[in-house]
Amino acid sequence: MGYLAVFSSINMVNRLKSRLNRGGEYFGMIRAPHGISLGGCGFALRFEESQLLQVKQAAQELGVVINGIYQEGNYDNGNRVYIRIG
Amino acid sequence: MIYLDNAATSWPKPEAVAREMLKCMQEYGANPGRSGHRMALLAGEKIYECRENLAKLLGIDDPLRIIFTSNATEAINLALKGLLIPGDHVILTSMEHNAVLRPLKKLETVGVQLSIVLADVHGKVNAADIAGEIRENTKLLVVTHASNVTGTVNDLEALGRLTQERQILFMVDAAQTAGSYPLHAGQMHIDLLAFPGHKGLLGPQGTGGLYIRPGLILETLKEGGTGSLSESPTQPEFLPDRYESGTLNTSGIVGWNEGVKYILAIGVDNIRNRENQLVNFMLEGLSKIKKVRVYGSNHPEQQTGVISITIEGKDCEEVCRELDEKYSIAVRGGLHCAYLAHETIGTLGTGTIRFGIGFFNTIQDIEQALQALQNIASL
Repeated sequence: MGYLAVFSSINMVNRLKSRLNRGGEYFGMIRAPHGISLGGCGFALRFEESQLLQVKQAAQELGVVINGIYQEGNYDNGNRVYIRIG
Repeated sequence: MIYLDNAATSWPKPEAVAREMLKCMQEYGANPGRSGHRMALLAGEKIYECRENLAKLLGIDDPLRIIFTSNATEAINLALKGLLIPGDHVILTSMEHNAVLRPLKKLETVGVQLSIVLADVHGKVNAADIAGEIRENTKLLVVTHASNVTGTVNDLEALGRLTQERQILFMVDAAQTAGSYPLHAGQMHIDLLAFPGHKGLLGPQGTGGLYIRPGLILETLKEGGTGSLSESPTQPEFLPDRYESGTLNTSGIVGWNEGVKYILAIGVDNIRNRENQLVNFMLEGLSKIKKVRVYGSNHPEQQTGVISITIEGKDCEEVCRELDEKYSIAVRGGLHCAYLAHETIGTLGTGTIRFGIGFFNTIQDIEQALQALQNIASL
């Protein structure tokens, strides 16, 4: 299962992604699912559970506000379920 | 053509600039920050990469505090009109470009007060003269890093210290220096830094930017779609979205990014040294031509690649035309959108012939320009 950190804009995700990808690990970016996109039209950083702490630390260091962190759950009625964990 | 008009816009550009612009148009020219498909995401990544490289080059900690604009003029307008309100006092210098003077004159009509500090005849501004103009309601000092008429460079470290001590904001117009002269927003205590993409930063026309230091909030000049917080009827507060409504000039910015990468690879100091060498060579040559008068500091170390001259008895525009038509040399004559600067150095009535030397010029270019000027002056 993957994790999503949701942000208000693509610029914020790119700032974080640029920092995190320097370590050689790959952090992806997607358009945030509408249901978890606070304020509408957010973008999300996609990563593995083992990278959660790194994401939180980098966001704090850079002063980039995470709107919410979600775990990707199973599908329910054809839609992916997202479980908020932070 | 020998291109010596780099103060207006740099030419040529590094090959990678056009290559990336074409690649963008052909392969990933989607709208950055809007859709979620891979083309749009890649466009957004490339735009961010440009912010990051600019931040590295200009001594800026947070790349998201760089606002993309269509040129330096738009950046200056955003800074001045977004910051100043009636009753504020602003200090500027007599070497400012109309890009600074005209927005301020417009603001003066609604109650913003202006003091114009006179530079010396070489175009140099004295920090003590500026200090003498600071009042209780002074909000901002705005200066050009280097004059687009004389090339004379202002001492930003000293001016930055002064504005810090006196607790006023410091804005720099780096139209003639960004990319070709050392510039560090943090170390120079710059609060607002406006720069074009298409001059020393080697990008295409239609690009520019404004750095806004942390904690400083400007009013917006435009509002609209940002690709973010679409449920909100009001503009986002966070940067750069607050000031970047509407689709960005993606192909221009990705090309610009290649220009900035080129500068980072070569090093600003190396670019500066090369231009310095060419300026020195030209100044030496000009000193030997009778009837030629050179304006500015006449010291390469205090000068960018800009050299302004007049030739006794010759109309500056006629000389420029002759240089173009007879010698295939591109320069710019006239007042260079900076009438106050010309008034300061005493050339308002005549204008000057301006040579804008760039990194891609050669000693041979300068030799040919000197020979052409020798021929023209001797007639």
